[in-house]
Amino acid sequence: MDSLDRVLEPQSIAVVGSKSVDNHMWLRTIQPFEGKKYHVNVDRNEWASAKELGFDSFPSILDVPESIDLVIVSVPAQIVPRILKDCATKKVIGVHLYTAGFSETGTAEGIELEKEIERIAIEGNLKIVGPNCMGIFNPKLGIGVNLGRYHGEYGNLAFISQSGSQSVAFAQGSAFHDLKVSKLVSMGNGIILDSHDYLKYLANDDDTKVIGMYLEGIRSGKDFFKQLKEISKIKPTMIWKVGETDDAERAVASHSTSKTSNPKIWDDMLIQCNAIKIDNMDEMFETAKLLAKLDPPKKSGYNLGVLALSGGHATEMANVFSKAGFSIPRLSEKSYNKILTKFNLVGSTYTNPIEGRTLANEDHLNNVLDVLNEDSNVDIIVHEIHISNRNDKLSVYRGHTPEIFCEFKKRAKKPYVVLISTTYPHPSPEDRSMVYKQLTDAGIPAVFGMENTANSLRKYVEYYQRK
Amino acid sequence: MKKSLTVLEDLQTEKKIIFNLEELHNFFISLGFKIGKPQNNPTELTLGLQKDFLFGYVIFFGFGQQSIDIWNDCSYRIPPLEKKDAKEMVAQPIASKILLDQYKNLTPPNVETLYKAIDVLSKLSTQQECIEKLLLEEIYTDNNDLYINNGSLELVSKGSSNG
Repeated sequence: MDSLDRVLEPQSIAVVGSKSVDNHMWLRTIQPFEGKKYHVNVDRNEWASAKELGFDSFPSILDVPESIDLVIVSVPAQIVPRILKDCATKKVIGVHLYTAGFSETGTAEGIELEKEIERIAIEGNLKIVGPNCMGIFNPKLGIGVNLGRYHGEYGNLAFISQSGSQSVAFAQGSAFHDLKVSKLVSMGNGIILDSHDYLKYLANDDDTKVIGMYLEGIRSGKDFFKQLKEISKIKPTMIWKVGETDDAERAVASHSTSKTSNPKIWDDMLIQCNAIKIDNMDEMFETAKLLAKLDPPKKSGYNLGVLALSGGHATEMANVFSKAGFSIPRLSEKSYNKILTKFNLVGSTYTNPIEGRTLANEDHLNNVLDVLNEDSNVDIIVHEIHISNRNDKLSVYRGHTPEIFCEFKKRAKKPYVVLISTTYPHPSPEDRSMVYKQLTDAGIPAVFGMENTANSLRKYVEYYQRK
Repeated sequence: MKKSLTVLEDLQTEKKIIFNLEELHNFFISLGFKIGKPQNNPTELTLGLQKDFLFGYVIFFGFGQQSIDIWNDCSYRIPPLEKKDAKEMVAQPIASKILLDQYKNLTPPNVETLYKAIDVLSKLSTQQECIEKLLLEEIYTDNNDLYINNGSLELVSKGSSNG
């Protein structure tokens, strides 16, 4: 077993910290973990409360009777060197340093202290996550549940972040989008384990299908380039990097002390690696949905069959998707002939995009979906819906409920994407959640907004085109 | 005075040093390039190799220095490069969509010649570490050769050649 496996999938964990500082936050965050877990604290007055949470307590790492894979450290920075020396003596594999107060402070004292803990870690062969970070969220094992607020169930999306707050937002946002996380690491200053180490690990992680990263900078460009190029051959990897302007670069320098490269060189490095450039968290979620839920397009992926809400939406969709690089081609004559067998031309259009009153008829709608499914001019089907509720009657498309889409998904031979329109009036949060869940449970990626869908779909198609 | 710059490390000094086109004449010839400008109303190109503090050497390509300086319309790649990388690199700038085909009375660049030139820079980047920046500022192609009309070479100072 690789040593990083034992850090991210540990069989035993010890938490070093005081209740008076964080009310046992780091004990609570691994409470569901079913492996061996210990509380390390010199203050015996806090042992009883740790026992109530299910932890046996010891005054020192060295007193724990069995081997330890991962130690979580939440103590003042000045004490960290002593704890790390104990970890090295104990032959601990990994240490998550929640503690801040190192190089990110910009002070000579903080920088010097970081050098000292780096030296101890190297000499003691300790894999350090951090310092100055929220550490590991592994929902499968019930580790770091304060980040994601769920455990037991897990997804196939991994996230590595230099920011703790972005990590927390991602963990909880992924649940909102019904994606769920396989592994998440808030890596902080990354003094030992750097971004490329996590990429190398995730390349071999069977639970992870898609990877996202939030980066402010990297320490070793060559290592990062090498790992990113390798992993992108097998798993789509989305990179959200900040520090692209002078002001942002200054903000990055004061947050994580990272140095950034010329943004154009960085962007082209991503192209060379076939990594996916992302500019914000919502874009990452929307793109991740397509990458996680859709198989690769069988053909180029740039030719869309489009079902729109109305004539106005059809023209808008043609505009938005063609500007994003897609084609909305004419269908074959055979397809048109088949559509017209069940299609009322009054108030409807059928050339592609397709829309109209006639699609309120379930038979007509299914016929159009089946035609798009068979037509070789179409690589991907994009279906726009709008969630509305009048007099307690839910409708997502011409009076239909989502069931008809879920049924079509079962017989779809090509990628089928639902675009949830964000036009007015907006649906209630309850209706939106219910429809979204129904679609995603059926395996249909549902993306919010027209531009978002076009943008994310282009990133999905480009990844497989360049692969 | 035309110097032979085939062994670049021998020319490193304590300070950064920049060579001009005349001084680089033999160096470019040794790389397989020609000096001057062909007579076929060619499209102006820019190609170069520079050190980036994060990634080490990067090769860049664009359609003239102005389009790079003003529009940032160029492509960068980290060597070593394969022909696939060179093809993507040449196709990437926005200007490529127009200038790789016939545009007005300009002769479009010969892409195979360009790919070979990129391969030369890629190999050069793996053979030494003393180049800070090699800029082929005004270059042109014909069916067989790459011509350099303006270029410069900046060597890193001794003691800082690890990149």
